[in-house]
Amino acid sequence: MGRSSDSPHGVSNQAPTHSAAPQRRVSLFVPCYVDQMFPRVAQSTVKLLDRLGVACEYDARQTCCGQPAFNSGYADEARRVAEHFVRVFADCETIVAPGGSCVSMVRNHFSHVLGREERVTHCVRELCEYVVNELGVTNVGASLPGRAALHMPCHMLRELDGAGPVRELLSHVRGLEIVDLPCDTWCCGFGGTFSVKYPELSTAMAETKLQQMRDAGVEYLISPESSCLMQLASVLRRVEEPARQDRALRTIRPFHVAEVLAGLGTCA
Amino acid sequence: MRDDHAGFETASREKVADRRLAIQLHVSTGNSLAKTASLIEQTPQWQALRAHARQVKLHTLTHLDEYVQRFAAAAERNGATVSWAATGEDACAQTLAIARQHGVRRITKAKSMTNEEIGLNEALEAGGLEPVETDFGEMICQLAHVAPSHVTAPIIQWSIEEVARLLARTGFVDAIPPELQPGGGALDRSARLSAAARLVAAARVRLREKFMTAGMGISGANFAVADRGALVLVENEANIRLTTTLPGVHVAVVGIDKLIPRTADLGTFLTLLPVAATGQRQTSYVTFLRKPLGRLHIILLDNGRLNVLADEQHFDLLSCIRCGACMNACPVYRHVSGHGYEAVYPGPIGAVLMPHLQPGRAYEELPFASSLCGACTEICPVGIPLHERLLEWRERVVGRGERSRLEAAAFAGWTWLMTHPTIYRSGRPPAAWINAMAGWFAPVKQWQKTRELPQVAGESFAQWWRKNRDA
Ligand code: SF4
Repeated sequence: MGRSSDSPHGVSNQAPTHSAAPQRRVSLFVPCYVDQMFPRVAQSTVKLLDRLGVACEYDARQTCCGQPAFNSGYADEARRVAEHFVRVFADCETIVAPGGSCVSMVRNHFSHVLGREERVTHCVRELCEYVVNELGVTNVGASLPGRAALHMPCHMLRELDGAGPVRELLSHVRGLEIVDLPCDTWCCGFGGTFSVKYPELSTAMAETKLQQMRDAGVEYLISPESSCLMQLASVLRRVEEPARQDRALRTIRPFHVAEVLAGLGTCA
Repeated sequence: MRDDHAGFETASREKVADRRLAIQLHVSTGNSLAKTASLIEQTPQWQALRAHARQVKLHTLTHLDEYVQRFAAAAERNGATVSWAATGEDACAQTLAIARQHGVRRITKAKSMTNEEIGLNEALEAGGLEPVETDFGEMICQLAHVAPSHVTAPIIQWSIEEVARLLARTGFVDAIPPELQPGGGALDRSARLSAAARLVAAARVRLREKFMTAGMGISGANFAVADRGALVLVENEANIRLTTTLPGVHVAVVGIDKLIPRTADLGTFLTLLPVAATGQRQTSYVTFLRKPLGRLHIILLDNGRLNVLADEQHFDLLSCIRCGACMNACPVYRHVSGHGYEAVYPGPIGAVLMPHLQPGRAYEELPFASSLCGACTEICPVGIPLHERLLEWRERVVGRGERSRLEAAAFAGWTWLMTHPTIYRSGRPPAAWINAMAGWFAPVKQWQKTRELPQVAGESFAQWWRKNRDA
């Protein structure tokens, strides 16, 4: 695994951009909520992959992986959206997405949803998985000084390769200390329609998690999943904004891993 | 069964509002999970054991009629009387009849979720008998007239102080130990624990009286072993042993899901159960009950189990060994406790099992009350894919058209949009409009009740890409 960061762009020397080899190309899958609400996460993904010598393609016919319908029990609807996904990505070799939940949907649940095997389900990679496992890069030369808690989305933790690649990449971010907490493996409480149907419960789940992070005094909350960050950030803002006004409370700033790695250094 | 069923949405909201409950539950379940995790780490064959347990259980369930017969024949050879109960009422009536036949009034009871499930205490009391719960946690529930809130830790949400107050109020102990009284310097952990130990010792003296004077003992069973016709019971307090051996008459109400084929399989389950349930390598007592000392009546209970067995997709729910680990791991359970579910079996297993055991609409909300994080599946010692079962329930309920019309219409509209990319891309109103109008929509209103609303970006990624990359 490449660990040196001496190259001019701060990229591992072992990033496979060998001159003789054809340039790597990947197709981007930008989950619908990232497209509409967190475009910066996808822009960071493009920027990071650029720097690692990977060319991105983006097909604007893409929409969603169908997960909202699937998780709510709407099997027919999920199947139709999944079929659309398969049509759009039919010819792609490698598909990279900045979000583990949708990757898991495609990789682990599509065959069930579609009732058949599709080649593309084997082609999707979560961003960190792709960078570490396929590019063999662990140091992308980013820096972010401070203490952070890592929130791993449940799907990535339990249905994909786990936290390994994300931790590996973050461990090489200069100045960044990842604080291990018991709540690291707890759900953020989002759960799609669950968060709408049971707002109090969903928020309490986030709040219980956040409280542990506050007690640990972290400055950042980093996650490879924008939907979890959306949930946690929404709760943070509701709880902390009024409090901050009267007692100068320090807020926890949420970041997507892609933003940290691409060095955008601004809030999600 | 529960006429007062308020539904998860209402019952859970009340529980969530109580932040102390969540704190207490996180401490208790967290301790248990930490012990379990460390034991699993020290057990390299853990995954193999899980797989073996699953295989044994699935085999048993697909040959259940055969094993039930084999068990019944062996138990009768051992001297037990075996009968069948199709429903909970049936099992209660049989138990009552046995008690009457032996002229019994006081009955000691060993902890059993199956007996909670069929409402045995209420039935016995209605018949003029005195059932006495002898497991410490169950005893507290009985004194307080509340249902257990966890399958292995019935009073998981109680503090020692609350227990002390209840025992003193009900005359079970003479007084609250001074350390546990308000202002008694109760912050010292070891002082509290020693006061708790004295409390338990005092309660034990009282229970001893009940044990010595009961005419009948009632238990469930953790396992029913077909080849030897034996019942296996696992515990830490010895109350099960006293219940099943002291009185001359013992009634065991055993769900048919408790069967395992051979004594040789027990090792696997006795290794998995205590680790998953309480984070113990082994419990203090394992009773292997074969030749009865006095009279032994074994009532084999269906009460909905045969319906689950007939369900090709869900029959593996009967392989549950009621360890409660899925409750400990579940973030929903950890915020609402067992009482938020208003069901005998709470947590993830309850959410998938209750709609089968008590069909009708009352429990069909439970499979939706989960964020599908999968922590339950990860921890289940017998490998039940609980979060998949939750999803399948949702599909069934939606398939029957039982969700709201509004929700169905929303998903239909969304599906149309997601499969028409040109309209999806070009038809989006400006972000400012969306953000301004979002609050009119019901789902958004729900979201905003407790959280800030995330904003739609001024420029979507697709727009940015077209401008900056596609050129
Ligand atoms: S479903 Fe699994 S984890 Fe839950 S109580 Fe049953 S055996 Fe234990």
